[in-house]
Amino acid sequence: MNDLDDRQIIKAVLAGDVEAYSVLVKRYQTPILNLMYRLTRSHDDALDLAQETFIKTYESLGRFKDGARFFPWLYTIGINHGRNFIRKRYGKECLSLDHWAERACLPVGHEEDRACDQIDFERIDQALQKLPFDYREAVILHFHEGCSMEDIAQALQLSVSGAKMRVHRGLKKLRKIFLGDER
Amino acid sequence: MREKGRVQNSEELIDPGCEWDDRDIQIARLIQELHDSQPPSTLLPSVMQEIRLREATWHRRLYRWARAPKVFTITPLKAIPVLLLLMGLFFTSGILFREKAFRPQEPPLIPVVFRLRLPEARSIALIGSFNGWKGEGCEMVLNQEEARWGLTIWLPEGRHEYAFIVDGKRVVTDPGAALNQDDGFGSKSSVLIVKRRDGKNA
Repeated sequence: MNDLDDRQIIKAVLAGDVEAYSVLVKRYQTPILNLMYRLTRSHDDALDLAQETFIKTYESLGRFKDGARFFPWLYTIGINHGRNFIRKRYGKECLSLDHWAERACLPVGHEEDRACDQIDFERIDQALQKLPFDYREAVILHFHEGCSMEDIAQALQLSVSGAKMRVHRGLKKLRKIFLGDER
Repeated sequence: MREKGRVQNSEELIDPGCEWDDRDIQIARLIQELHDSQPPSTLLPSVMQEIRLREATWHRRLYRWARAPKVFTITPLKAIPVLLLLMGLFFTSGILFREKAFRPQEPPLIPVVFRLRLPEARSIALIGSFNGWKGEGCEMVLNQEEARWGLTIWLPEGRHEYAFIVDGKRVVTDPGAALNQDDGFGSKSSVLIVKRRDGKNA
């Protein structure tokens, strides 16, 4: 069952095999949970939001377009759900996700640690939190999740060229934050 | 989403059209190998439990059943009675439709009031061409104040003949009728022409 294509699983779920949906949850629970964690920086909130995202997605499966890719569609639902959560919880205090991310992130380490052999995952994670939301998600979707530009465009609701630009500029911005590279 | 294990080299993800150097590639590799927070073992069961609960309601089950494609197998032997039934329904509905379409319109009925001043009578019934000359159901009612018998019936437009049966045995014509005629059997009957007030044909 696990080897089945996402679309085949969706067909099975729509035909009444509710348990088949567990394959999709297993397959994508990690990226969705991490997306929510990047948004909220709270493990409890991230867990609740991830759970709600999968339930919402299940409720919307009837509207899933035949021929579309499931993961970007799921990711879009997750992003919208996370955005609504932030908006409701922080209201006017939080003007945008980027604003919120800046408040939530930890300070970036000192610049003397520039040498590539000294960088560590904690610092790259912190640097990623400094990136504006759309750039960060584009970079993570591409380099971490291995998504194609078409998938990123669908997930972030951009054009393909817009997705390419986000990835390219996102990496450049990240480099600046991470290495203090001013070139 | 590609499988993580398949992308061994982050250079694969770098667009060759862009200017990237070793540091960019190193950063891309770091992002690629960034540690994910692992979902707790409760996430999957809690999602599935919620979904099962939602699916347990009868309307959701009905909706799922209606959405799911169904396959029917039928043999020619089984198909014959079904086809005959469908053909029967088709022809019956066609006949009914034609009957309905060509059925002449019922003429509109007009209320007509019959009155007879005969206070000494014990009973009076109205008979005529419109009720087969039978008084049942057309018994007149005495209005004590006006000392007059009366009855209102609904008649189609046209010519009608009528008379009154007094006390069940005596046939009396209407003294107020414009025309009385011989019925050919030794009695007389009154003639009534019913017309709509506006004079239009029905």
